Amino acid sequence: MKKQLFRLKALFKPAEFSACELLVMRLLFALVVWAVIPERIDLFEQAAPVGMAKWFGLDFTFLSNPEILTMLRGVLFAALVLYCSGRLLFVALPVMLFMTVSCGTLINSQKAATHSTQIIALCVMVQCAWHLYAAFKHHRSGMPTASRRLMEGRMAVWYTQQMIATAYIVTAITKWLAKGSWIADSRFFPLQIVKSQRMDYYNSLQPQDQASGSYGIISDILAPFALWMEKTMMSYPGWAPVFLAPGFLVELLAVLLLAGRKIGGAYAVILIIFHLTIAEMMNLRFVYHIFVLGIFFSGMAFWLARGIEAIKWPPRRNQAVE
Amino acid sequence: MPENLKKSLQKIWTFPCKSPAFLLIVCLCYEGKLMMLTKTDPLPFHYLALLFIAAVLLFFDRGLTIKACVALLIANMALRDNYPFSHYPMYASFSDHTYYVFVAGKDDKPLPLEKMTKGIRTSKLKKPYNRDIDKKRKELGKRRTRHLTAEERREAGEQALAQVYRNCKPEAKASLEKLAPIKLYHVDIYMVDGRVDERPPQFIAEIDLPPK
Repeated sequence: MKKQLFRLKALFKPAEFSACELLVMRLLFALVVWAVIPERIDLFEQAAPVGMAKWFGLDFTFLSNPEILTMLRGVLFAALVLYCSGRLLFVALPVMLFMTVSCGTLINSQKAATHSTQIIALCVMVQCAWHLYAAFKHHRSGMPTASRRLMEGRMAVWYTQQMIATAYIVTAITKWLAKGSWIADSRFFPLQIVKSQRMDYYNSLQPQDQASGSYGIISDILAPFALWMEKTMMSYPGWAPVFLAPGFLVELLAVLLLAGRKIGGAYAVILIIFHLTIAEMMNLRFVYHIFVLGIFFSGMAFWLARGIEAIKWPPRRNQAVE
Repeated sequence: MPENLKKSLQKIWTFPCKSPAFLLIVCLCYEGKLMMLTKTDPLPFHYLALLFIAAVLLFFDRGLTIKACVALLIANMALRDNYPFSHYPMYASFSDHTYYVFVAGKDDKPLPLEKMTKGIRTSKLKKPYNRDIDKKRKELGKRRTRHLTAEERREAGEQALAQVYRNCKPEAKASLEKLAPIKLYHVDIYMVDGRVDERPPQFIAEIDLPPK
């Protein structure tokens, strides 16, 4: 038993990503951060301030000025180029953090919290904290530069992975603590389906059958399954807990995302399917969650890096000082 | 120090994963007790104190490789919906009642809100409205928002409509003004005997544009 526990514990450690894999991850994540920052924000007030706006009384409505936002997006672009290059990360990441947090705070300070971009801002936050710490701690360590960068990159991904797992566990804990009977109460879930479908209808007055799926071919594949689940739950609400309890457990056990590349990868695929099914059924599109799962867990970076390395990139795996 | 206490403390000191285990105990103890966790009210002091103890234990959790995970878990649970932190309260609890809202023009025909405002979805209309009627519910001492009358919801409806207008792009403002006064309708949905029962739309509020 003790041996098995030790073996299980040994799985929870940073993966040994190659330099090329880290580059691919940074590139893809930079694209996501760029997508998170809107080109224009038409919010001229902070009706119910949250976060920095509440704690420090900061007013982020200056971001609704198109000229200022365009200028800041230019600065962000430069920071993202630096971030992708893997150089001066302690300069690039605070800029990325400022942009994600300030835009997100303004958008969430409208008496209406949305939960789509928090995961990106938190990933940037943990990477920023780690690289600032590493910049001050390791610059005089005497370690060869390439090895130091590789080690810092791997640790940054490890903390980011922990952040992503945390987001899912927190979701499950909140459900658990809110009333204490989430699974039993999920027999009322069909009401939420009706509500979200009706609200979606009043966005465009387009009947749901005519509405196009959110994820192209994936939507087409998942649509029959989602439709079957939806119809079953609508006709027999008592069955809803059977469909929803596994989703709750998948969120609660998301710590398994950190149990090595294989288990983590498989778990990420389960979570992605979970998100895609919800998107089909309730029109809730957690695209950024899917992106971060894909980038940091699914193995996509590994295969892309293998492709690049096969062309000419010399792997630096062996240069690392563990 | 008594020998037994010393031994117990030593056991706690060497126990692996102290902080996650403690957090699990906190969750087990609080299951169902924090009915207001999904709302924005301040959390009970003793609950925050327990989270603080978990944070202290984390500091002494030697050999725990997922320390950041536990630290971020505590931070998100304590700071709740304060960007970038969040405890993700959406769909955290269900009941036999929910509702949705929509906007109609002067002829009472529904408007395609997202299309007309070029980006504001009905969910963005509902959330501030929901927040304000919940505030009203507390003021009036009613148990649930479903017990509020249309008149008691009117102010929240007007504010929600005004907020949509204020945050519209100029071209969207112009097209909304042509349809003024704009109206907010509220539709209750109940689960009755295992069946979804959708009630007729209820008029809540209207505002002239631009608001006077």
